[in-house]
Amino acid sequence: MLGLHESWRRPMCVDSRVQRKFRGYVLTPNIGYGPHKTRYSYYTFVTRSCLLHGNFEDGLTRCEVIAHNVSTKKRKEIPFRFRPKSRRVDPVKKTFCLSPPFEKFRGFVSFLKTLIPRRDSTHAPPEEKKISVEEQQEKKRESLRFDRIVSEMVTGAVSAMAAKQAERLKEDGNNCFKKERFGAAIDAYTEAITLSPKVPVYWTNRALCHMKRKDWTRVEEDCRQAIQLDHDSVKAHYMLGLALLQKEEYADGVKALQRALDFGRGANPTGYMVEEIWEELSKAKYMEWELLSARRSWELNSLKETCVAALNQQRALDMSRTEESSEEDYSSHTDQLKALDRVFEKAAEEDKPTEVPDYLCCNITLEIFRDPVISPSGVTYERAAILEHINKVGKFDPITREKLDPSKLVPNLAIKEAVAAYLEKHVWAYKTGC
Amino acid sequence: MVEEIWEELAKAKYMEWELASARRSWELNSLKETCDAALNQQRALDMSRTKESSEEAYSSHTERLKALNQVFEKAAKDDKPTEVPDYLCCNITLEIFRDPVISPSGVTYERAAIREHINKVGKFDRITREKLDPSKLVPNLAIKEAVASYLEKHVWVYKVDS
Repeated sequence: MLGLHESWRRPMCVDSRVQRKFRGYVLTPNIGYGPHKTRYSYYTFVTRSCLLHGNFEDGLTRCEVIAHNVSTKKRKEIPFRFRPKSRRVDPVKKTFCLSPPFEKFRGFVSFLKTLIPRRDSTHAPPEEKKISVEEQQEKKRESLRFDRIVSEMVTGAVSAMAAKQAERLKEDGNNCFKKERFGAAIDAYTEAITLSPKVPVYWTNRALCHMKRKDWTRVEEDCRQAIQLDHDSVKAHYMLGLALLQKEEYADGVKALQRALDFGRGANPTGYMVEEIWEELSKAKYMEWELLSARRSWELNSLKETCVAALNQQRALDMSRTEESSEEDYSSHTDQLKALDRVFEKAAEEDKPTEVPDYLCCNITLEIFRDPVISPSGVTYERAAILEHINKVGKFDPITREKLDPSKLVPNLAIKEAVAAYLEKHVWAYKTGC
Repeated sequence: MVEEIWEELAKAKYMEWELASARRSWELNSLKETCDAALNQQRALDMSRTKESSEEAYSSHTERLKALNQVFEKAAKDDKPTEVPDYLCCNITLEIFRDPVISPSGVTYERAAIREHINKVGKFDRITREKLDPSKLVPNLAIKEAVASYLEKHVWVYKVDS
């Protein structure tokens, strides 16, 4: 029951609005439960206090009659809920429905085209039937050129508007993403892409949304598009790598991640992304290796058992033949078995995790080097670790305590190569890295 | 003087290793032969027992022999002379490092070699062609350690020096 003033009395007349209200034929206001045809226009009886305040994409203002007992918070959400969402196809014209500003252009362009006379060979007067082939070609080229100029003008005008619009959509998408509304964000980015498909950022943003939703096939598609548009995009390569890893294509995934790392290092060596990329890359390489190594060790073990069995059998045969069992024979047999054990151990050595040698580890992080730099005193550190030390503690070498300037840090390329060679051979070392 | 001492030391280490390695490879070979013989014998026994000789059994037997060969090769790998990895060799002398120093551009050279280069050719880095001052050469202690540990494992490298 709506709130009534205490001086209200039931009216005497028969058919009044209020009487209808009491009987249940209430005209309920439009509280925004679905798209309504009258949304796009003003209600004449409505005052300015009912206007919805917000930036709508098509620049029109909105007014909705929202029920009075709707909270302020919801009033802000309602116009967002009913923003135009996706590209609809006009079933009659069989074209895409553009949002209102651009629809205006469609008619305008076709109108322009009809106004300006075109030199078309089909409209040639009948006397000039014998037009030479060259002249015909010339006329065709001219008409094509004309078409191109007009379309360029139009696309120039439209694309400028489109770019601005696309940027606004991207901002919307970013806001949705921050609020974890990934579906809405994806829609916003999709619209931005349809408006300006050559901007790689929209593709990578959409890929990131897909990634959060674990939709790896779409991540891969979007990333490949982004890479085509911008070859150096760190994010695109990174996400492509992750998507490929999910599909268990370790070799390609590792390559993509390596590219991302290279581009990332080139642009900003201490950026946060480089750290993430390295961790993913290490994980990927480790998993690749784990599979292979498990198979290898299984094969080795079975081979070893066969050999041991064969040796034992031979010994049994020998014993039965000579009918003697001397101490010497027995000890030589056990020696043989021991030697065989050693041989197989050595063969399996590569696959067993041991400790990474000291000269390949940083003194500060105690982990294998990722980006080694050498100080003027000759000691090598991890770049990130020594820079942190300089910022937090002071400009001196942690081991020799000599004065140390960040500009004097030289990349130790030889150690970098050594680390790469070591990691190739002993892939298990990647595990300690992450 | 230093050079001579180094040469004598290298020769001694190499001879020590040669003896040990010869014995090791002889042991390995005999062990390998025993294993092969045992495997073949076992196969012969299996064949006589089942009284069939299927293609599969034969191919798996040859595979096993091949795998065994690989295992023994791997075990003997340390003793076989191969090439010293690039990052442990100087760009100028093309030999393993004895006293590595690093230039401001990041490339590591043998101290004697780069000194000679500066005296004879000019004060620039051989690879990057940046300006290079002899006082700016920093001893690359990490690579020195790497070289030491590599030599411990693969003593055959010493022969190249002498």
